[in-house]
Order: sequence, then structure tokens, then C-alpha cells
Amino acid sequence: MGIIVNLDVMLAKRKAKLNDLADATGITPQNLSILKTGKAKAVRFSTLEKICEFLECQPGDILEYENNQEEK
Amino acid sequence: MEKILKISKIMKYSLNTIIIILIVAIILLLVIYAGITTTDKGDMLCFGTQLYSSEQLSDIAHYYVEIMHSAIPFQLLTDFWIKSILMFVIIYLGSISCFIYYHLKKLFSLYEQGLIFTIQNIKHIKYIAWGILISAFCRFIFTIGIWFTVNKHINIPLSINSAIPINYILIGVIAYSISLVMEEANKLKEENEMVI
Repeated sequence: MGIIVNLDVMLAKRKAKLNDLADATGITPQNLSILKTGKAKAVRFSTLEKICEFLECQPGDILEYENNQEEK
Repeated sequence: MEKILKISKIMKYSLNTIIIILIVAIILLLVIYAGITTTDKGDMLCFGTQLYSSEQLSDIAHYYVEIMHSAIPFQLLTDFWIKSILMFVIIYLGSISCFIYYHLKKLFSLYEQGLIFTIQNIKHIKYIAWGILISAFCRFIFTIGIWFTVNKHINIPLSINSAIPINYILIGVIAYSISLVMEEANKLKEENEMVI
């Protein structure tokens, strides 16, 4: 998939744990794990807003686009 | 959702009862049919394995027996082929009905657990659809078979309506279409689960 989720990178930068994020945003740790591993098919704006609010960052810091075709 | 759970509970228990009744009925039919002969043995009349004296029968029963004897030739009732076909019909259609009811029961027990758009449900609906279509095909073959055998003795007109079980074919096709729709619903459900 061309979209990469850098949630673990941002969590490490903010020195926060996944469970802290889950407690603060109300998103279940299971769902955050799906998001972190890149298995998620879509992210709601409301979820993105909550994550950005907690991590004090922009959506672009969490999501990144990588062109797979160029690599090939 | 509550309505689905309630209906599923009722349907599950009803289908359990129907399956038991059906199995008992198949066994009884086979036992009774295996011994059926309607020949006269002197003053005695034979039904199933029991012998009755014609005096024992009421006037109405006697009337029906006479009608039966005049309408259906003795040769027909003892015909090996018709006996075999009817036995096969009882066993085959009975087992297909049991198969359909079993999967219907499984489907409703899954609904009862709150599992609606799962792969297991789709599998059960597909089995039900194929069961109905196979039973429609068998009914067609058996109707033609019995008609050919009976036609040797009595001239019975064969109508398309009675030969082709249109209702069964329609229900089977609808059930199969529902299973395909459920497959799409399952894909949507899985995608929805991956939306965070």
C-alpha cells in the first residue's frame, strides 16, 4: 500500500505509549494496533483529529505517501 | 437486532422439532410402504401388514376400498418399478429436506449468537439454495419417471405445471442470489471493521 502510517515514530518522538494514546483518545488499543501495523483500510477524520490533538502534530506527520511503482 | 434474536430462537426450536418429525415420518413411511398390498385374500383385506375382515370395515371405509380397487389396477400397486421409485422418492426427498432444515437450523443458531454477516452464514445459505435446486431437479425426474410407469396402466395427462417445480426453482435461485448478496455484505463488514 502506498500510504504509510508513522504512528509508532510519532509516539516514540513524544515518548508516549500506545495505551496512553488509547486512554486519551478513547480509541481501543486493538484499533490503534491495526492502524500502527498498516492493516487499516481507512481512517476517520475524527480519529485523526484525536490522535493529532494528543501527539500535537499534523496529519502529514502520521501519514506518508510512498510511490511503490518508482521502486519497481 | 432483538427481533432477529427472538425469531431465531423460535425458528431454531421449531426446526429441531420439524427435523425429528421428518425423520420419524420417513421411517414410518418406509415401514408402512414396504408392506402395502391391496389384494383381497378371500374375505380379508390387506392394508400394510394388517389383515382386515371386510365386515370389520365401516360402510365409508368399504366405499373407499372399492373406489381404490376400481381406480388402481392391482398390477400397478405391485409393479416393481413404481414401488422402487416411490421408495427412492421417500428416501431421497426426505433426506434432502432434512439437509435443508439442518442448515436452516444452523443458520438461525448463528443468528441467535448475533453472527449475521459471517462466512459460515453464507456457506449455510448456499447449501440451502443447492438443496432446494437439487430437490426441484429430483422432483422433475421423479414426476416424469412415475408418469411413464403409471402411464403403462392408466392414461394420465402430464401437464408442464406438475412436471416442472417452478416454485422450487424460483426459491432456490432466490436463496442463491441472497448468498451472493451476503458475500458482498461480508466484504463490506470486513472493510468496515478495518476503518479506524
